[in-house]
Amino acid sequence: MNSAKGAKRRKFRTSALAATCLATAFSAPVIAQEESILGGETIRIIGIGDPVFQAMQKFHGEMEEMTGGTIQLDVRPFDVLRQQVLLNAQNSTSSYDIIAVDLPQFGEYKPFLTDLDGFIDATGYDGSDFHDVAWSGAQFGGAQLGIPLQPHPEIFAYRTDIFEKYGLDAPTTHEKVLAAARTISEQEDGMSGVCWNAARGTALGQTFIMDMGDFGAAPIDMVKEGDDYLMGDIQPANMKPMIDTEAGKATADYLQALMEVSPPGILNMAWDERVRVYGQGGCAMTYIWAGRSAIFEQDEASPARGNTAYLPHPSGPDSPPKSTLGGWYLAIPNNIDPDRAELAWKTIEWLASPEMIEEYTKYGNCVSPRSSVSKIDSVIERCPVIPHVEDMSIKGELAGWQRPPVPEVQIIVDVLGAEMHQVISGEKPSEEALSDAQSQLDREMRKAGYY
Amino acid sequence: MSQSREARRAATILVSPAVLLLLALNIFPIIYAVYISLHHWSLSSPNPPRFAGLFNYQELWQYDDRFMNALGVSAVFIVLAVGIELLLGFALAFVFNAKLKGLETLRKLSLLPVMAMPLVVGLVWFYMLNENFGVTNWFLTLFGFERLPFLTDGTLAMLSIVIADIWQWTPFVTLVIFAALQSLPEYVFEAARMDGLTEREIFWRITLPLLRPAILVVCVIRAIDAFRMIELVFVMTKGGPGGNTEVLPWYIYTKGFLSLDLGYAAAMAVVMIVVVTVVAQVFVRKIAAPE
Repeated sequence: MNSAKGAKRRKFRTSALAATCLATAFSAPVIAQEESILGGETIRIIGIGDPVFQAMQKFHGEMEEMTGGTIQLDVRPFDVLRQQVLLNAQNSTSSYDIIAVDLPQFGEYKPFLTDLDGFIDATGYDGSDFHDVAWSGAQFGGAQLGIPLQPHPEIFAYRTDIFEKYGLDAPTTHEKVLAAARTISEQEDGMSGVCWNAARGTALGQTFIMDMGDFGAAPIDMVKEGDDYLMGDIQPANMKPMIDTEAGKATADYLQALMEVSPPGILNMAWDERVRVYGQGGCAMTYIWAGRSAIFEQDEASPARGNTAYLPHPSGPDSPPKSTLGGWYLAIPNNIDPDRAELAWKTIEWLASPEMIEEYTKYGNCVSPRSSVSKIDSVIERCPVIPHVEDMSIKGELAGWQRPPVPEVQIIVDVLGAEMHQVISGEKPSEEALSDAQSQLDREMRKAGYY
Repeated sequence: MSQSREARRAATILVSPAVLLLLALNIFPIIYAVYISLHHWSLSSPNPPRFAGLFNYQELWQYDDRFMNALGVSAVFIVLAVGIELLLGFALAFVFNAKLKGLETLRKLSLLPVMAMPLVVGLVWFYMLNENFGVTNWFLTLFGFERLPFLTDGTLAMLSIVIADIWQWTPFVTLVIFAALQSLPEYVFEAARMDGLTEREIFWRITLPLLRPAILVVCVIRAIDAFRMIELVFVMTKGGPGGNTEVLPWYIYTKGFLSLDLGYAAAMAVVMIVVVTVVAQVFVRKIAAPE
């Protein structure tokens, strides 16, 4: 009796094991590799707590299975990541094989990044699938310094159902944004007009320079070409701050006007909170980094899900729509142990492959810098924002000059983040704040020896 | 003679590890901070550090309104937080000193906030006071009141940070004063009562003077701690709105670790060390002064 039971149990276990193996083979997101990428080695990556690296954390175990090695993924907040990368650059040998670089950081990091052209040529790597602006954003002095992983723009999202209800125009310009926001704030119970980054410091500082871009102006005296500014070769003479200008004043006025149609707590609102408040129906429009749209698009309870349309940053008078491109690239520090450089490149190739970019979208990263992935139906279904970004890229509505890739970009952001917060809190007139910011930044540039 | 030399040598050998450790951990960082403060030293610049003399200090005094504002905000924070903590802590210590049932358990429980990480305390208060998601505003609206901008109004934001600090550190003040109360000799009070002093006179003329050293010690510790406070500001307000809650350590942090201007941040840190040392010295002399 007992042995019959045991045999039954063994048979059941065997069947269960076989079924599990089959299920794993068919359902796991295994991306076939002809040969193991890591071959039992360990790769050391330092990344940021942004959707793409958070996605990697979610299926880290499977990634290690796919690569046949160990992936040490060190995910840090923005400021800590920057400090770590800069300190690591001073080591004789890098502690990391791959580092995450934000688009405007290339100017600061370029002295200690590996030129990837050697690897690109040797492996015949094809970058043509990436959006032009994303691919060229990592080119400095003719060298490709990074491979796009999660470059995405800050765009504008609005509730189509609410706009239809009140018969409002799509918010393509500042004027239309403010008009719609006033109507909605007055008439829609419990809903404010616009959510945006108004928290003191980096959040507001970035808002200011990106919104200055809506008026066609850059924060430093860069060379203009058409509607855009040249980023690849910024000279010391181009480092003069351009804050106390007409565009600066117009931006400050726009931010003050936004305050009247913003939700409660706006003075402390930053990246995630603005998206969550929008996702919960607290405001009808929001500025948003495209990749974060998954927060409400993949939340069945959100009233914004399926009721959101996406636009480039609304523009100021007489300016074309331009959304700021930012987000993350993978790069190799030039103090890497030479024996590990090839392994790092192979891993970057794999991490930025179309299959992996598609995989990240399943885990809350609604970004695709690759045109081929942007056309996949299941990706579009998960992340409706992706074809919109693709469209903006084709129309030339994405640019990176709003946050110039110079070492002082964070100083510019910090100074503006403090000065403008006094303006929007009503503690300082905008003229005085702009003048103070201009003179502070001027002193910083002189101190850095630019002029 | 040779014996005393031998004793001195032994004493030097025994003391030297502690002195070396003190030099390495306390004195060297201060000297190094002064050295950095005399340089243009930016981690984000490809240029090597260059000597700047007193340039950074001159910038601080001549041009930097934020620095002066931060000093003022720190002073306001210290006066409000430490002042209220002392009053509350003092009162609670007397309550706990009463011989009542259940107070011992309450005393132990009251120490829990001290054990929490300040960053976690900041996060808890941030979420409680948040205007969109916070439970405090939820209750206010439930009872028909308007939402309050706890973290985005200049005065309320400062008060919110002060309240979070009071919540965490009042138990520490209570503990020190309570320990001092427990150590007071009973016979002094008995003699006072026999001399016909009222309870109020006993408090003002005996208890308070006897507690003076403990009060001054707790004042020094809390004032220095409050001057270094950064976590609550980091999590709750980032120094805003405007610059209403920008305490000096937060400004130093933004200059040193966000703008990576190490020279300038070090100059501010040196000024901060000087201020702390001067204030601490005043208190230490008061403690050491004869009654």
